[in-house]
Amino acid sequence: MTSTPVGTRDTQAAPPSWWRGEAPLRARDFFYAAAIIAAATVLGYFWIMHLWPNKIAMLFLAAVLLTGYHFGMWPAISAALLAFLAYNFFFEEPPFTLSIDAEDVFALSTFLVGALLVGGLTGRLSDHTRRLKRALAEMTSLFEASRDLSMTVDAKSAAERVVRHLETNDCRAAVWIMEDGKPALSAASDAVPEKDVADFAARLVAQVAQDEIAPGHMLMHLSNGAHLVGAAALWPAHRRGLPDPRWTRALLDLAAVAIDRARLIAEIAATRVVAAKEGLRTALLSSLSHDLRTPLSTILASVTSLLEYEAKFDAATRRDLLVAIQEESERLNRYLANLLEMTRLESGALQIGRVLIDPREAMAAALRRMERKLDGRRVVRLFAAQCAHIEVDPVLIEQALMNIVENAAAHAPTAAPIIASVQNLDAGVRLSVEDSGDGIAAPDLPHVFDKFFRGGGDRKRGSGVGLGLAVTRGLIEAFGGSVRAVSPAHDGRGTRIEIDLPAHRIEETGE
Amino acid sequence: MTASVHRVMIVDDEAPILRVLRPSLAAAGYEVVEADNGRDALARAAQQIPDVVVLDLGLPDMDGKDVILALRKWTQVPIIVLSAREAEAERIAALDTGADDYVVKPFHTGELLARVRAALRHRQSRAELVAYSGNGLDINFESRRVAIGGIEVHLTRKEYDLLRTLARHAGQVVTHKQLLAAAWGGSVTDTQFVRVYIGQVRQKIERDPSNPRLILTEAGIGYRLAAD
Repeated sequence: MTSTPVGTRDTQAAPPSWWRGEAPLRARDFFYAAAIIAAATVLGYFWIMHLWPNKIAMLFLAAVLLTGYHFGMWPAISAALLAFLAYNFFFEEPPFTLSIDAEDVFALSTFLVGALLVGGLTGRLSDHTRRLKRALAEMTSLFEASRDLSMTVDAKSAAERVVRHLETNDCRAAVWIMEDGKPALSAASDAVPEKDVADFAARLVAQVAQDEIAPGHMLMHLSNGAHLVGAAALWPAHRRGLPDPRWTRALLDLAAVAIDRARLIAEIAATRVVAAKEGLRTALLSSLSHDLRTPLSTILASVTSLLEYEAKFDAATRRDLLVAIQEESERLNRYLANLLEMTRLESGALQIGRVLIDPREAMAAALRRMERKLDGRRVVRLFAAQCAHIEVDPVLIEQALMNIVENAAAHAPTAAPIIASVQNLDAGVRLSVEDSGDGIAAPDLPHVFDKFFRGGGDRKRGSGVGLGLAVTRGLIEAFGGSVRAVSPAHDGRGTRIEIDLPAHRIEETGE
Repeated sequence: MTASVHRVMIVDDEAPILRVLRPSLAAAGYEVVEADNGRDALARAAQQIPDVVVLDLGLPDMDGKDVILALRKWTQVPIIVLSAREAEAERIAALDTGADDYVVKPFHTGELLARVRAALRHRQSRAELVAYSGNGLDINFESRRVAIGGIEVHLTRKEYDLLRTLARHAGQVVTHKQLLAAAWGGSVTDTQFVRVYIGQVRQKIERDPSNPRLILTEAGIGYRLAAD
């Protein structure tokens, strides 16, 4: 830490509190003291004197003790003096004269001792209470600052919060954060002395990490224990002066931690981005290698076989090879389309048109387009009779739906039906496609929408680059919707992919 | 061999590939056995004793290398692996595990068939090979004489060891590691030695060493003596 030991404004250097009576002397306390003695005098003169004329002194002692208890030492002493005068004047023979004898000196001494004892005790108690209150206030403000700062994840807002906390403690403040070894003024109160700001900044550039506590300002450094993360300067806002340096140090240590943590969070995020990009590149390469090359392998092998052995093949074999070439070319084209879509989605180059459409129409169109792929499977359509509209790109929503239909077709046994449904939600529309395949293994479920993820079953079938569902998610999220996989979907089997899209405000009924 | 028809087993999880190779291998006069996963491949190999195994490394149920290891426990059947071009490390590992050759996907049917032929030839002659002759290169393994176009060339011992190893696997790839083991007996691990010595052999036997026709480079893997 760069903090230097600092002197304190606290009571250590001051006279003992019981003497000094840290509570400020207030005129009204003396007034109350006089009033109490006056009341005692009246009470004594008109009542006590007639009952127990020789107990008047005790009445005055009680009044002095009461004053001391309530108003501290100095009002009590003045009460003692007043009590002595009143006692002497009104009650001692001869009445209405001041005459001092040995007995009077004793009475005065008794009053004074009582005043000193009770008043001093009271003063000490109230001082103690006041100190506790102040300590509590400091603790509370530190606690609040720590809670506040712990919620920040970026350095600039941490700096702003520190300045705000310092402002609530009667000062103006400026906070610098070190960026690449240079101080950057990140937050400051209004009307901070410009000359000081420039001066402190220059000192930070020169790496003079020395705290400075002066009556007019305070400059403290923020360090994470290893290196300087920033600095803070404080100027008093009122005549009450700067806050306690130890409190300030504690607050700024919290700030240093928050700023340093924000920096680390940013670094981790940046590293993650790099790692994610790296991972994507690797996945892309292996995907291109294995999956895009597979149809190409079939095509090339078919073509070269035909070139070499055409004469030896019968008509059926020749046709079969040509069909293989066609199918694999189409498959390659689908993969490439998804790959391109994914790239455009990620680079933000995808142009998304927004048109109000009926989700049932989109689902029907996707099913129609996938008819060949569905290969005669029965499709059960559970479409709501009345359906809210969605605002999406009609071509892209169709692609998103085609991908989930293709996924269902790839996983469902040929005999089992596929259930396509379009239903209203409270504030949206749910489109879902359900198959009766083996379902998705629980550990795979969170990953089915990841790029290049292929479940065990897919690997066996060797179909798909694992982009279809990722593209669907990308598109649906671009439309403000969400997509999830539910498996098993029914009776321990099957997978249902659910797409939720926000319904457009204007609900249309029927078609 | 008991029959004149050779049996080729294709192990690939891609149905379309099997669909294409089946008629092509049949047209080339081979009997075809198929398997679309590793376990199936091992079971069928034990039952049907193929003469050559064509193995795709990306199988759904097991690592291609494990299939090679399992086969090598009981058979020396030539294994040709199919793999993607950039899966270089995987290919080297497969060759070092016991595969005899590889073909990069996507491939020409003719290329695969040439490798199958090389593997079959090699399988027959591995034991009794006393001499190599092809592409104008003649090697007598007993007298250790090497001649190119009938003219004898003198090779150093290491150069000869490398060329002999390549010739014994003529038409098939030999990895850097295998060449190192053949010439240096495993005492050297820097493949740069192989590159330098192969360069010297090329200087002596190639017509144009900058455009080698006999010893072909398999980038990142090793070398191959050209098939006739």
